[in-house]
Amino acid sequence: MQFILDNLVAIIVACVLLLGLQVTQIRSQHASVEQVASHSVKAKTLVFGQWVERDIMDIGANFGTNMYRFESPTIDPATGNTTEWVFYSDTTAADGDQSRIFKRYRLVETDLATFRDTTYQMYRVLRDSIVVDFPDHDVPPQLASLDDDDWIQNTWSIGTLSFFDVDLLSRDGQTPCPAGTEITDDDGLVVDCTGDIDVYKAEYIRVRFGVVPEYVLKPDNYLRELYWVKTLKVRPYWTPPPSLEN
Amino acid sequence: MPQTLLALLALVLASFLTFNQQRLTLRSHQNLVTDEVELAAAGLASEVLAFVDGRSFDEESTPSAIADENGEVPEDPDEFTAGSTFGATDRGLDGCNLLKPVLTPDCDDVDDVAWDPNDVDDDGWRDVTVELSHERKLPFEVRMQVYYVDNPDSMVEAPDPTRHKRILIDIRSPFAGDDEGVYRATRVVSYDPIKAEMDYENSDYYDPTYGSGGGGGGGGPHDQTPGQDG
Repeated sequence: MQFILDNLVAIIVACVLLLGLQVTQIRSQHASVEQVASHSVKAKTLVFGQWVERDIMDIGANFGTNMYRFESPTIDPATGNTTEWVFYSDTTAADGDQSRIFKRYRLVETDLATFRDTTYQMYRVLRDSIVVDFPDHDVPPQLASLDDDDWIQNTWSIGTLSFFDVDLLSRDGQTPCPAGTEITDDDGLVVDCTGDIDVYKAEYIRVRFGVVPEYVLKPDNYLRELYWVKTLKVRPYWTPPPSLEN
Repeated sequence: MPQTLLALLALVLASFLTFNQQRLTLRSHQNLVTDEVELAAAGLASEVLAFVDGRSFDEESTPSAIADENGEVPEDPDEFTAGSTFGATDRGLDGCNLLKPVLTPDCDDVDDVAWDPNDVDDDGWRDVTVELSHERKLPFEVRMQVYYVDNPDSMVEAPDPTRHKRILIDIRSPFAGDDEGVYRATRVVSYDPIKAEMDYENSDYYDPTYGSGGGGGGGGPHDQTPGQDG
């Protein structure tokens, strides 16, 4: 007891120092992990973005100028996410036949992540494909003729997407709808159709997605959500769509 | 007494260490936020440029202008507007909506989005918001300059109209960078008469006979409201 009293000041200072150094050490570790997580998320975001971009640039390869090469995306009305989207391109097989390559994006739920005041439902995009051969100059196979079991799941994205959105847009930034099916927002902008989009009129494909970090730190990550968007023109020219021909 | 001095010295050293560590952590956070904002800004720039590219090349190649000329698509750069008239001259009073061009129909050609650096009343920055999940938004300000260049590789302004317009886009954010912006991109838009013709044929101004035309002059240089211009 006498020893403690004699060295009371030294003990208090030592405790303060130890505490300070401990806090510093923890903060330093936290910052390091956060930096690694940030780098990882950014790299994965860019790679997935490149992946999507490449798929879109390949859309419609070897098609005629006025053939539509993608279907209307399926939107979940509750979240606004695109849950399914099919697009295709043609190629020539080794025996001279034609091959139509169908690709399908499907959005599936993964886990929940809570950052500060927000709980995110996280998603993963699965990419399925089918290659169907058909004789040269013959009628190509249609999407409706495919069986759901024929799809082969061959690629999938990171599982920490916070949203995924595919928009088909006309050159004035609107969703192209068949006449009389437009749904407008408060500004009068056509944002959706009551039925399918008029895919013949779509000139741009815009893909947007958000990615959240996969490591949730306590206290929470400073990084909240990385945002990626790409708007690509998919029809340089084409003859007036059927809906404008009359 | 020596023990107290040693204790004080230890406390000063500990404070110094903690302060430095805190500063490093803060800088690390700032870099993370800047990274996050820069990635979003790069995507925004690509989207804005895509819709600028989707507009007509010049006021004289808009669907209404082609209709006024009975379907004749301009071929000669001399027919294009002078570089000195870029910007507010013919974009109407509503300005330019960069992500939803349909809301500002008079901002219908590439140079309408331009900011004039000599205009003291307009600093050129326009608000544009990126929408994230859970209705969260990321605000940006965008400013663009447009000028003629002799060829797509040139950065030097051409004195007379040519077939190429260079667009410079600056983006700034309240969360990163400085007043001059966090991101800059540039792209050259080249005149394509086939695109002009297709835009005309897909518009409400299209007249297959190339006779009476759908325009007939009217508001602004070329009013973008079919049926209201005489």
